[in-house]
Formats: sequence, structure tokens, C-alpha cells
Amino acid sequence: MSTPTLTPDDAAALLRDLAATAAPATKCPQDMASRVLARRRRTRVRRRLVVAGALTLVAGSLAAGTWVGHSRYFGYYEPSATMAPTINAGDTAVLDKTLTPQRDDLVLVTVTADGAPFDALKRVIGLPGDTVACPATPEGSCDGVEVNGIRIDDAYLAALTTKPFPATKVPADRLFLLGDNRAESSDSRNWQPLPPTPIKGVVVEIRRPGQAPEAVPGAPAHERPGNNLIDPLGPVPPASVQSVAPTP
Amino acid sequence: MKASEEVEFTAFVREHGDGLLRYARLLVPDAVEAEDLIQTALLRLSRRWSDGLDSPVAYMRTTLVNLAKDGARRRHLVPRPVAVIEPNRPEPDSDMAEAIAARERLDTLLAALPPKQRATVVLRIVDGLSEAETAKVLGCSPGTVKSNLARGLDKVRENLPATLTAPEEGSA
Repeated sequence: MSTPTLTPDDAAALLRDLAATAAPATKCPQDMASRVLARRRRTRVRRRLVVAGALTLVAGSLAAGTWVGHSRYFGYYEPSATMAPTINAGDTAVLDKTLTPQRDDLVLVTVTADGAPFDALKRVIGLPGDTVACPATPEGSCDGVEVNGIRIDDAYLAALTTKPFPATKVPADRLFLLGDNRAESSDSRNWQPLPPTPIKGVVVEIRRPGQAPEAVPGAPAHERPGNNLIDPLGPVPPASVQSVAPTP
Repeated sequence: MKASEEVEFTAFVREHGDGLLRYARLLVPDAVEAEDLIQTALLRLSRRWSDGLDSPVAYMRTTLVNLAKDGARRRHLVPRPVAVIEPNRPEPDSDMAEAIAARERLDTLLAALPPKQRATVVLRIVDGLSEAETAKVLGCSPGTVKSNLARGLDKVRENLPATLTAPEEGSA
């Protein structure tokens, strides 16, 4: 049988024999079907979890993309002392991006100084058409800001004094803005004429660290957000309540 | 998979499991790999079970051949140790000694064949499939089956003397 002249048929027969002899030693494990089915269930559960996770992620991103930045209210962290003592550095102002600024409102404006734009909170002193002045007394100081010749009530200033400045007529589409910290603030008194800049929002509430939210002292009453969503960032896209800019 | 389908599937595995595992065992060089192969193939079959396959056995055959070819490709890149220890099956009685010896010889003979020739020889000779059926399972033309079979058998004949001595005497 093992002669070198083995034909292919012999080889085939030999293979067949060997396979038949070897076959009984190879037995399918009894639990093969249940093993496969268990594995199938596991992969299915895993696949479902992955799909659910992916869907949640997509839905979450869409929701965030849709709603973040679209609330009526947004928060602004005040980094400077320009509005002290009304808003100190480190306080957070809650702004309403839908309101039109009125006299004595606090507004967030974008100002360009030295070629770099920055956001600043200021108080609306003069509306278009008003004449704002701070006449000097014989001692060289100024007792208070006058709008159209009438001294404004500025009890919110505490004891801060104002340096005299000449009368200014507010052009149309512009606002005369002052910081409450009159000694330190850079505002309509020294800003050069600026192109109209959108006002980002009107302050409706002040949140000081460790204190309950309060309304803005000296400003007209506005609806406050309560439990409404307050965006951590500014409005998306940037709100333009009214095209006005501070003027000198 | 519904409960009724799972019952069907279990019955199928019980009926054809042994045959398919023996078939898989001829395609790959060791028992563990054969079991891996059949598990993977059954998993794929379970995914297709609800589709109502015409012949699950044919599906399994094709899948097993494809998996064996993939495995051979991988083995070619990542060599495995040559010495393979057969896992101890529960029934080591006297008949099995002969079967194990036969298996060893069979493995040595078939190990010399490249995967496609090996599959052709197994399908045509051991399983007794026709040329056309083999061509369908392997996804090639009947002419290729013919030439692969001839070359495969030639190689088996060449290697036969080398395998004759040790196992043959052991079982005699």
C-alpha cells in the first residue's frame, strides 16, 4: 500500500479512511448551541448599549447646540471696578438681551479702545437728544451730573465724586454712558466718537458671591429671570438690541 | 431571535454539530481552532437564522471554508507553535487511540497543503461533494477545483512515505 507508485485514487481512499477513523474522536461539545446563543445575546446587548450611547451623545449635542446661547438671559462676570459700588469686580450681572435700554439702565457694550475690542458695563445717563453736563463749582469740583439742565438723582454713587466735564449733546442713535465709579471709569467723558456698537443686553439682576440676587440699584425695575435658564455665555448669535454707541 | 427560533437553532446544532466540527477539523490544523471556527460560523448563522436560509448546512460549509482561509492568512503572518496538544476529551477509551493516531497522520498530510487545496481535497474526497458543488462552496470555477484537487493529491502522495512510519507502527 505504501509503494511509491501510489495513484491519486489510492491517496484519496487513504484520506477517506483516515478521516473515517479519526471522526469519532471529534465530537461537538454538548453546550455548543447555548454557548453561541449566549454570545449572540451578549453582543446584541452590547451593540444596543453602544447605539443608545451614540444616540444620547448626538441628541445631547444637538440639544446643546440648539439651546445654549439662546436663552433670554445671560450672565456676565464683571472683571473691573468700573461700576463699583453698584457692581464690584467679581460680581456677576444677569442681563436680558431683549430689552431696550432706558435712562439709568445698566448696559453691556462692546467698546474699542487702543484697537482692541472689549465688553464693559455702563449706566445710561443720556438718551439721544439729551444734553449731559457736569458744571464745575467755584471750588473746581462738580456737585452732580445734569441732564438737560436738571441734576440727576445719583444716590447709587455713594460718596464718589465726579470731575467736571463740559455739556455734551447726545446725537441720534447714541447713548451717553457713565461708569458708576466716576473717579476710575473710562466712559463717554473720554471716549472718542465711536461707530454705532450693538448693546448686548440690559442688566436686570446682580449676583454677588454669597448673597441673594438683587435688582440693580437706581435702575428702572425689570422682569428678573427667576428660575429661567441663564446662559453661561453671551448670546449666540450676538444680540443687537439697538444700534447705539457711547459718544464723547 | 425568538424562543422558537432558538429551539430550532439548538436542534440544528445537535443534529449537524458533530459533522460540521469534523469538517472544520479537517480544514484547520488543531482541535481548538476548529472549535473556534465552528463557534464563529454558528454565530454568523444565528444572525442569519431569521432570514430563512435554504440550507443552513451549506451556509455553514461556505462560512467555515472562508474562516479557515482567513485563519490561514493570519497564521501566515503570525506563526503559531507547531506542536499542538490535543485537548483531553472525556472518553479516552481504546478505540480512540486509533482515532487519535489517524487524526495525527491526517493533520501531517493535510498540513502540507495550502488552504485552498486543502479545502478542495476535504470537500471533494472526504465529504464526497461533486466538482460543481465544491466550486460553489469555494467560489471558484470547476476547472480550478480540478487542478487544486490534482495538485493537492500529488502533495499528499509525496508526503505519504514520511508519515507512514511512526503513526502506522504505533497503531499496529
